[in-house]
Amino acid sequence: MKVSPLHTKRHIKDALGNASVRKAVMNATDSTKVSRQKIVDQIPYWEILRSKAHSIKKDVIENLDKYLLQFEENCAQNGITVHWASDAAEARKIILDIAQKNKVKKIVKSKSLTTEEIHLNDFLIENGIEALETDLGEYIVQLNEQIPSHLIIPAMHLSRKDIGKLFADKLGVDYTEEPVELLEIARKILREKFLYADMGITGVNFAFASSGSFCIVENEANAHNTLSLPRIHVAVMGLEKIIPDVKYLPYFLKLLPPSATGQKSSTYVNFVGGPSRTKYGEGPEQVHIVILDNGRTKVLRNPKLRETLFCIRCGACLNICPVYQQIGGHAYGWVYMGPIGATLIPQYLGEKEGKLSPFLSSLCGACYDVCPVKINLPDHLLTLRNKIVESGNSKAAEKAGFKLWSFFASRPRLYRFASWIPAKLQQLFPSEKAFPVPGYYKKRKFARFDKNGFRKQFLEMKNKLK
Amino acid sequence: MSSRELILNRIKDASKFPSEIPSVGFDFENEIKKEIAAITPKDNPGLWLQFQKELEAISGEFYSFFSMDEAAEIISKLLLELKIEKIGISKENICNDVAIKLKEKIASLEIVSPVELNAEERKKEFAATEAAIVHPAFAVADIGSLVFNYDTTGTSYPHFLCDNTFVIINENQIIANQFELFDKIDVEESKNMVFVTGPSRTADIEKVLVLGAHGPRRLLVIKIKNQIERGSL
Repeated sequence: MKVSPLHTKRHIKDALGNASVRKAVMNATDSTKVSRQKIVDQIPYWEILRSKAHSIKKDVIENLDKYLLQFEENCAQNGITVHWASDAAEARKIILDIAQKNKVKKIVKSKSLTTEEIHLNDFLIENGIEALETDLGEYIVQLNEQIPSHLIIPAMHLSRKDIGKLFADKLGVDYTEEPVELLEIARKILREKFLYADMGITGVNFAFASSGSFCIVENEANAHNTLSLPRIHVAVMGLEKIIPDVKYLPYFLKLLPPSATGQKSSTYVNFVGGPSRTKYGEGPEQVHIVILDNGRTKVLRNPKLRETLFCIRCGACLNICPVYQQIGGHAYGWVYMGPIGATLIPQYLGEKEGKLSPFLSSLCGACYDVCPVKINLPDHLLTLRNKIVESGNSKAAEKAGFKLWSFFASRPRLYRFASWIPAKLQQLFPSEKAFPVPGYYKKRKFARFDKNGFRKQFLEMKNKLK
Repeated sequence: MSSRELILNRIKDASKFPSEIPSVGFDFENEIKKEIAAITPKDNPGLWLQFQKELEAISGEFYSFFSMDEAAEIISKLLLELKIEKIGISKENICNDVAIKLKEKIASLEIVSPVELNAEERKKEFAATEAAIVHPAFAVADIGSLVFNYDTTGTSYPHFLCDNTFVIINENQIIANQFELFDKIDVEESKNMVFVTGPSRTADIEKVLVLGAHGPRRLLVIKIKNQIERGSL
């Protein structure tokens, strides 16, 4: 299934009409929210921890060139080859060149949104190289020819029945919907793949400028197998993933796991400090790191919106978002979704392609409250909405509608009269479903206007308080 | 112009626009440290109790013994129970010493050591081995975590490729948290590391937690009170 932010409206309709997807997303986000809160409640210094992380990220984003150069220099000392990729095409070419130069035929990958962003798998497969996802959720969505629907739980939209059918169809195994058995099937297949892969590709969670090393956080041990078993390791890193020093890592390791999965700590934090085969006889002979721009420096140009580069991809803003909970991840049409995706899509892909994304929000502010690095997402969504209107990418009818609304809203008497009309008009339609609002989803009821109206109720309340 | 220069120029260009990101005002480092100190156990037994509680909460198993003999006793019992005939060890002497004790108890037990095996041989050997004895540099109390430095262990395969991991650790190897860890270690000498917190897991199918994703299914931490004896295999 190919998705695109340009087809967001269609994706939303599909999602709202699919009871199974809605149930799966609602259950998974609800349970993750509860687990997150349980852990956060055990950390009395949570709020100052968020502020500290914000201040570290602020320093990084405001001094990015300094830290990247320091990182590059220290990587070289550790024997890590650094590549710079201006865009997705260049990153893909760099990785293909490394693979071809080293006669790589089989690649295992651990979950990396950055590699999703550059459409790496399809490109490698087109070039005759097997590229296999090894995180269970990623393996499932790759088998299903989809992109992840969540930053952390890629197959969140699928039920165990869906996955059981998928495994039976694609892997030729007996149908089962038991998670333990499904995992066992995947584990057995992937264990062989790990042992015989020539190259492992991972993302990067945090890279350390002062030591020229980086780390990958995970639960399944697939990332460790990916970086330690093949003879070549390639890590793809968005240029914003740097932090000044590994000593700052504990702050982020306290914030990331509760926000991502509701765990106090992730099961594994893997540190990579260079090709280890020469050092202690195993692990990769070569370690490459691809530093990717692909639109990030464009984001950096905006003095306020550059804060969106603080994101550590935990997914907490997705789980808490009432809009994401209803429409799921594919509705956003890109690899980043939810409130953070809604801010990144127009910034990375342009205001034309991302013209609907910032509007996929109720602006309730919950995403800001849970963001572990304190990104002011509601504020940025508003800024982006404004930019989209100013750049002429909003609909002419919508613009005219708001002009009309502002005409009435600045004339109280006229406004009162005008707002009385739809309430009266609605009384002509006996069914809640039949109220003809263009674009309103036909399977949902339209609420009835209250007979008393807001103004009347507000005045009554005001008088009572007096 | 190379992509490197292009990207660095773009960053320089962007920095001409002064940042409007609000500042948090002051550094919270000391406040955080104070808050952490207030909830950290003050002595070694307290830290181990905290470690045990956290480890068990994430399905790890914990044993506390006086000597290495007792540790070997429980490991041999479990190996016999699980019908495991081959055990992998990492490079430290302590793993070797435990292996010797195990061999005294189960004569037929095969020991797989990374020493003298090349990378390809190691992979295959450890992938065909069901249990491993490993030795971390530290146990981290507040999250029930273990710290392994490969430059010392010389291998990570026993821990990641074998289904059952027996972790042998001395009583004095506990630290309070990761902040203390980074104050303690030489960062330059600790670039190839892993933090391990419980057995491998996934909840990717309907958020149902399943242990043993692509790494060990069981993680048993055995704390030993007295000094470790030396020996050779």
